[in-house]
Amino acid sequence: MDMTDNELLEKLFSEARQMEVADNGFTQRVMQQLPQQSAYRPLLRSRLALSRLWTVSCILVAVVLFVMMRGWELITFGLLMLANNLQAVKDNMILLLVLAVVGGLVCVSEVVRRERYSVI
Amino acid sequence: MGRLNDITLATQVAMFGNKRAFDQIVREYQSPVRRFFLTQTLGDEMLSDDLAQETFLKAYTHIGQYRGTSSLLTWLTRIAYNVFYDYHRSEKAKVNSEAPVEGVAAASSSLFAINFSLKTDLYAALAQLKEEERTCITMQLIDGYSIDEIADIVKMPTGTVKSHLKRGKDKLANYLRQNGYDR
Repeated sequence: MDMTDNELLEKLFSEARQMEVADNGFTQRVMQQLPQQSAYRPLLRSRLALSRLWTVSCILVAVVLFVMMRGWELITFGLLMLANNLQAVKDNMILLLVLAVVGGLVCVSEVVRRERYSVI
Repeated sequence: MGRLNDITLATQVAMFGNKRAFDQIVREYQSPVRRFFLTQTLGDEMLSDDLAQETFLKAYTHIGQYRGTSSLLTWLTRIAYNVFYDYHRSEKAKVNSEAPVEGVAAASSSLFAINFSLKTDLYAALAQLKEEERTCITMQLIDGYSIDEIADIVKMPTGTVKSHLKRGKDKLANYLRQNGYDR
């Protein structure tokens, strides 16, 4: 029976598809040839430096605005309002405390996570 | 290796210069990359290993460009194709690429874990094809890429890839029939 073109090609390539090339020290040779650092890392480092510069700039602007706009007065006013409200919701004090602790933990874990991923 | 694992390893290399992660990548993908070069060079082991090594070095220095939209193997194959294309272009002055390759370089190659006669048949058959036809044929019939993926890797329109595949398959079928492979 004559074979079709596809059957002929399948006969030739079916075993070739399964073939594995033995490592025979190839990986080791490649690893020995690697440059000290990939070309991407200096770029990444400069981006991180820019990111830190941006963070510091934002903090400085925030401090200047706080002083210029008498931020402490706003905070005092806010605390007084909070104290008044707390009188009204003193029955829910435990719930508020739990929420505050959870919120604090989330903030701390986020800061730790960011620090871990920003280390090169 | 899954796409997520590919991305994790590539990120480890790009962000932290983690050489152990790159070692894992090379170990995982050396076989398909070297097989690609062996089929393109018709079994020239030394040349294939040199080109494969160059491919992985380029992958290491450009790992930050891997976006994870395709598998790491497809990305490596794209680099491998470019490395081979550059090599072929530099050698063009010495060898006429349009003529079928005269000899099969290393049918006795010890790297492939397949039998001698199949290796001889495979390389001899592939030697009948032009470079572009051979690339498209091996990518489809050995590496299992779709026509769209091949077009993306070799940066050719899908119509051109289809033409190379059609011509290549016709040539191979004729060659195999002439050599009694259909019996």
